Amino acid sequence: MEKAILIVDDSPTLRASLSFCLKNAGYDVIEAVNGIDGLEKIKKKGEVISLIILDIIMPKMEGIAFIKEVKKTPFRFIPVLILSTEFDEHKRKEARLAGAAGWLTKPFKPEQLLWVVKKFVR
Amino acid sequence: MEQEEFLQIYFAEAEELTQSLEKSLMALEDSPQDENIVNEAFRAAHTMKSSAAMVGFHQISEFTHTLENVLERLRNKNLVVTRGLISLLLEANDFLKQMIENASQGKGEGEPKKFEEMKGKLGRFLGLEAPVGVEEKIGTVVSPPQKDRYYKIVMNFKRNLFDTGQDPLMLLLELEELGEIMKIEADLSQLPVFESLNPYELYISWKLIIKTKEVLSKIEDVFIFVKEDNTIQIEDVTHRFGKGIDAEAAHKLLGEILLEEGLVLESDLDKALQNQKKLGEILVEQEKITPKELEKALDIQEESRIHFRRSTIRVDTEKLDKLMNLVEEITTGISRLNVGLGLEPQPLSIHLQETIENLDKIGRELQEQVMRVRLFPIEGTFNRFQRMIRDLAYKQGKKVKVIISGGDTELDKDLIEHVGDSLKHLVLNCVDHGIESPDERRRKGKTEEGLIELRAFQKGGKIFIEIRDDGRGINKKALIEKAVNQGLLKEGVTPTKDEVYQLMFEPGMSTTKAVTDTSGRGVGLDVVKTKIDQLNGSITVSSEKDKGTIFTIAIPLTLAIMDGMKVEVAEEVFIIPTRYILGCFQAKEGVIKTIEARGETVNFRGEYLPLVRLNRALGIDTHGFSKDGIVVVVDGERKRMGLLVDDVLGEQQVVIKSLDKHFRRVPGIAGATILGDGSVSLVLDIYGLEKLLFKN
Repeated sequence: MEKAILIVDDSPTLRASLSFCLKNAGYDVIEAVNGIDGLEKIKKKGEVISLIILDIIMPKMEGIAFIKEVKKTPFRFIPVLILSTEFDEHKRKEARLAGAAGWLTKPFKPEQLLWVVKKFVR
Repeated sequence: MEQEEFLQIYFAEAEELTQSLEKSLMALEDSPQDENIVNEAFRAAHTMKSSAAMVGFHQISEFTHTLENVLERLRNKNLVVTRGLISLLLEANDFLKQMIENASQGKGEGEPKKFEEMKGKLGRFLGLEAPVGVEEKIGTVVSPPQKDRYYKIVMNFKRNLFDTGQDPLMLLLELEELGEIMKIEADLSQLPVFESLNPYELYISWKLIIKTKEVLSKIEDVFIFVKEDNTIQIEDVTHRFGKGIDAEAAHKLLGEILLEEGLVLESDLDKALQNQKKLGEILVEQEKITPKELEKALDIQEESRIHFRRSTIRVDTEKLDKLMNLVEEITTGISRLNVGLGLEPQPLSIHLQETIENLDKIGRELQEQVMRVRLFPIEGTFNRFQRMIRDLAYKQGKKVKVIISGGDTELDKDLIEHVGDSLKHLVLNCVDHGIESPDERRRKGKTEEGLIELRAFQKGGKIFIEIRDDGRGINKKALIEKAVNQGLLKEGVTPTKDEVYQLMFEPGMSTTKAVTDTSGRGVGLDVVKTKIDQLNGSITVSSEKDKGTIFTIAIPLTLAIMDGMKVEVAEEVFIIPTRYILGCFQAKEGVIKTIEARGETVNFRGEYLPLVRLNRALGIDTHGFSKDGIVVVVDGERKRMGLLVDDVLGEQQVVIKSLDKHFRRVPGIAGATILGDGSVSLVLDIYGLEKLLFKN
């Protein structure tokens, strides 16, 4: 597997749509249902993950906490793309400070998703 | 995947979420203070909102958004949980379920009247009507104009760019897709030497020109995620490139252009230039002048050139350091020879003595010359500042002009490295706090453009570096107030001008309230002062309201060599740097007096100074100390003190070697040096010692 993208989102709808779009565009996708699951997947498959797409508001482990945890692992240079709503300006800033590489506003169209993803994975 | 499958996933999720929301709301009624429950409810609403928007159920999304806002207010404690509120939220959740049900049957989501009514009810619990509606934010398609445009892009990234998962290469690749990169330059000047290079940091910045048919906003979109934390300047330079021709090239030498385009190596260019026939030779060939006339003209030229010529070669600093070490060893060897011969039965042959004296002289000269080689003009440092000033001013919307003078003043290479950060701090301080915004300056009747002057010059054995701005000046009142607050100054005491300014260098005395991005960071001028002190330098300030501020730093020409006094303590030899020494006297009986609450003191010119027994202070085991030692009075940072030593052995120029490389930094010790007899001796750090002994 090369160029896999890890999706960390508690919403099955979001996961399904992200996964669908990305697979269609030729990316491999790994899904995680929450932050803890996400961290485990990173620890196991970090070498093949080239981008993390992360929902910022999740139960169990919030997105920001998740980013901070990722930055403690050897995979801290994997870019993290956060999904936020346009009302989450504050959260977005917090995520940026925690080391997020970029963001995408929900809802988004497939071409917008791919445009942003391409900034990090080629 | 079919749309149908998507919807099925969505409806399953939505059902689960509405159930979970209901459960949370009921639980909240029982324990209204429980933050976890509120958070759970909030997250459920939030997720519902995004999922609904993804599958295109905008009414559900809009409604859950309002719901989410109410829950957010609960979470932020802007709302109190009441039975009425819970009822309403439950009612809203029921309505939500109904809308989802309707949607799943392919009907419209909510009946418009009911929808507005419910939203209105919820809206009453929002202090303000929050903006509703979901818009596309990025990736809007603008049809590109057909004409070629040229943009100049300057990219300066933060050192820790990689930490955010960004990669400049990705940006360059993306740019390449938008058009043709005509020219690109990487600035490597910030690259450190290999040993101190951190591979996880970015030292390189780029400058490029791209030819594209895209509009500016499209180019800006490339940098959408990096523009906030990094300095990215994009300039439309189409006017310069009429029909693809760089107008600036007209003013350049052919060789410069060839080099820039990477079409020729610098060495090849130099060779080619050497082959060029000289003007004089051509004129002689054409018999316009005689060879004699040419010679005369060349002589005039040569004479003048010799006067100004500075031919240089590049030398690796490591080689220099090695050379320096060898030279030190030679001088030490000569000293040892000197000492050794002193022990020989006299008289020595005059010839031998003269030879050694001569050797000694040559050794010193050699040392001095090598020291000179280590001197670098400060210009490079200044130029770097110029750039930083520009970037910071640009960021803050200020206009600043930088004037540099005395850039050819030479400093020891180590010294430049040590003092660089402090200078940078001061310089950026000028931009940040000194220079006013263009508006403010205009109001004060000044030019919109502020002025920062960097000046260096040598006077006596010292280098002076002046940083002068024409900004708002230092607010003395604010400084005094702050100092009183911090307990550094008693109320009602009027300090002198100098004393006020020195207050700035006390810890915790940064006068700006908010920590600013650049010069703030919680590191104050106290750090600058400490650093300069460590270099045996001093810093002074003068300032006038609305006229500006001048910081003057004075540092010794070189770090490595200083005059020292050899003293003996418990059979060990230590060096006290001479510049701290105020005087010495014998500690005869009655000189040391014990004063209650102050401990042992000595009287020096009518002043009672604390006495420090160096053997104890340095923790050297003593087999009973001699009762009549010598008191060396030194001037510390805050106070004078008397150091009791066993004996004073004489003065010597010492070359300080840092201990840091081999040990950690030892408080009270500045470094080590090799004495004439080849033994190693420690050099005392008086300020450090003072801090160690008089913590309060």
